[in-house]
Amino acid sequence: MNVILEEKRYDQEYVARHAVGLEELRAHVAGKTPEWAWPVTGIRPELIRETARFIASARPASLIHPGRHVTWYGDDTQRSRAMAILAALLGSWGRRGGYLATDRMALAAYPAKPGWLTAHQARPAADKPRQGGYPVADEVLASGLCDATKPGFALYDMKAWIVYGTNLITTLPAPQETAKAIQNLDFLVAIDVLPAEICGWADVVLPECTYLERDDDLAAPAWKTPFVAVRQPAVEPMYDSRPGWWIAKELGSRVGLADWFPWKDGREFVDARLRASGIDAAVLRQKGALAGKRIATCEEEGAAPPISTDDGKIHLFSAELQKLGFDPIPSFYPPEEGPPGTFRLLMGRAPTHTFGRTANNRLLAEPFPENQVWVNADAARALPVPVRNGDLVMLVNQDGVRQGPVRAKVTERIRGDCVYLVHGFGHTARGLRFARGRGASTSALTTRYKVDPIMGGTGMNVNFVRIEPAGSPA
Amino acid sequence: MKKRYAMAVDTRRCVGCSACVISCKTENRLPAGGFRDWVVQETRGTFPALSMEIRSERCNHCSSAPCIDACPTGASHLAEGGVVMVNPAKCTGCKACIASCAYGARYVHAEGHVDKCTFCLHRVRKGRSPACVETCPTRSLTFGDLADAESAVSRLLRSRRFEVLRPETGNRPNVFFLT
Repeated sequence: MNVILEEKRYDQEYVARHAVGLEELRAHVAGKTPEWAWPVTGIRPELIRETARFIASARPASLIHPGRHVTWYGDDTQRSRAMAILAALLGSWGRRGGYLATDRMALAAYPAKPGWLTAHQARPAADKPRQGGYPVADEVLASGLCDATKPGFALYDMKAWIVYGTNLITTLPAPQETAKAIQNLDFLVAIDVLPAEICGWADVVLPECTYLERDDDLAAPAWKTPFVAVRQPAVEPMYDSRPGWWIAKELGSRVGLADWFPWKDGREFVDARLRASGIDAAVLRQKGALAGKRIATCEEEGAAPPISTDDGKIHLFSAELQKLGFDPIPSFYPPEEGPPGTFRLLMGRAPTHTFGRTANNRLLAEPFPENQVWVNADAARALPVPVRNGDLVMLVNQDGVRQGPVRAKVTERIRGDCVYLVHGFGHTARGLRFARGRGASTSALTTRYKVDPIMGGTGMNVNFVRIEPAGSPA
Repeated sequence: MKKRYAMAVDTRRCVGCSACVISCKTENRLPAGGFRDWVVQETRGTFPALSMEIRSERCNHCSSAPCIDACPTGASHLAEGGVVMVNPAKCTGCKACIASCAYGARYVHAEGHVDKCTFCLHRVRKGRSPACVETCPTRSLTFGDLADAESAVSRLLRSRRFEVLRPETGNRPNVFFLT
């Protein structure tokens, strides 16, 4: 931003028209030169300048991708804002090649009787923490579920969970806290397609059939060309598994709510919605998906930029955040360093595996059977016991949690002070016969996290591990 | 005109998801541990000044294929469109072809014969593309006939820079990597 503002490479016309707070931003980044960023990032100032010029030369078609799994250090709202502000300087909000406006296909709800609720209602205050939660988030994340289960945390204590298709033991940070929260429960139901770790903690497991064996509700996600897609079974459910709609309907009827499930099955439910929406179910079922009318997605096509502030302007300087006691413009605060001899543990996904559960898929596991711990080549050589590519190592975190053995991938593709693991491996559930015991678990090593005070996200890149040769005494 | 089948692999689009590998395994019912295609990630430089290339690799269906010369029984042969094929009935599993291949494209099938990519000729004959090409979510793979100047693969090779693997062998590969 410093280079782009200093060299006037930003979209001056766009910023003048759509943004407020440019002068404050300019003053704020004045000292944040590439030379200032060099020791932090390890990237040469000339390369930073070159990159800034290159990005600016393609604006507005230079997308600053927000990324996935963006909760790193507990200051993630501000980091995400910084990326969004850079996108604003490049004029890429609502412009061709940048962030486009999208829309959903309008679909009718299941035809309701008078007095029925057809949409999710606003969350009652009882679900929120007593202290009021986070200022800009109106609901808590999954870790808030664990918090609300602690006695005295929320307006009432949570006594039962129905966990649907989420392996909370590996998806939440600090598995020791999740386990403690479960101990506070009276009752836990897990609905899953796999015998994942969470099923081992459940009082009752309701095995759901896979997506290829069931009817599901219509899908109409936000897209450039709005569309509707239908999911229909390709084969009959195997074993004792049932579709989600069947589980919901049966549970409903057994607690006296049968009137709320007047449809015979998932297919009838979907057909009724399609009829009410004026869509031919037969055509949709044959084609799988139907496209709607393409909408105007950017200024060039006549759409206004997708800006959701009250005044319709991009706030480079946020008076709203300032009022809440936060930085009005993002600032860099160096994240805490780990103890000497340790590496910061980073995690992410590989394109072959979308979720932790796919580690148990034999076809996907053949080209990608286990995760590896990425270690910088120089750092691997400098270890007390040097590590070569393919060596088996153990990872020990700051709280003494051990994971492995896992193979080392010695590479130039990572900084010397960090190691990286693909998430979703190191399963322990006996039922995951194929994935069990392969690789190392990122979740087990994530015993600490840092909560973003603005929106409550759990920053997970605050754990540090030591690398030990496999086979060394615990 | 005689067909000359070829594939263009766009190394700038490929993200290395291995969907090509998995679709090949299911389409051709490959045994556990057997692969006809695979993904290579090559990194050059030192951190942070790096460049990387991701390639979906397979048999190059070389125009002068040493594996065909090496085969003592005639099992490895040239089929229509210049596709290098193995006839399992003639193959004794002697592995001379494996030794002669510069690309490691061949392996011994669980049933004893040597196996490799066929450009999915059984699909191509019916007018469909190879399974890997049809599956690729980033559309990195383009298959077609180089003898047809207007085919998608011919047009791509006219408009983009490309490389072949190990050109020094003189094998004249028919899989081209767009860079």
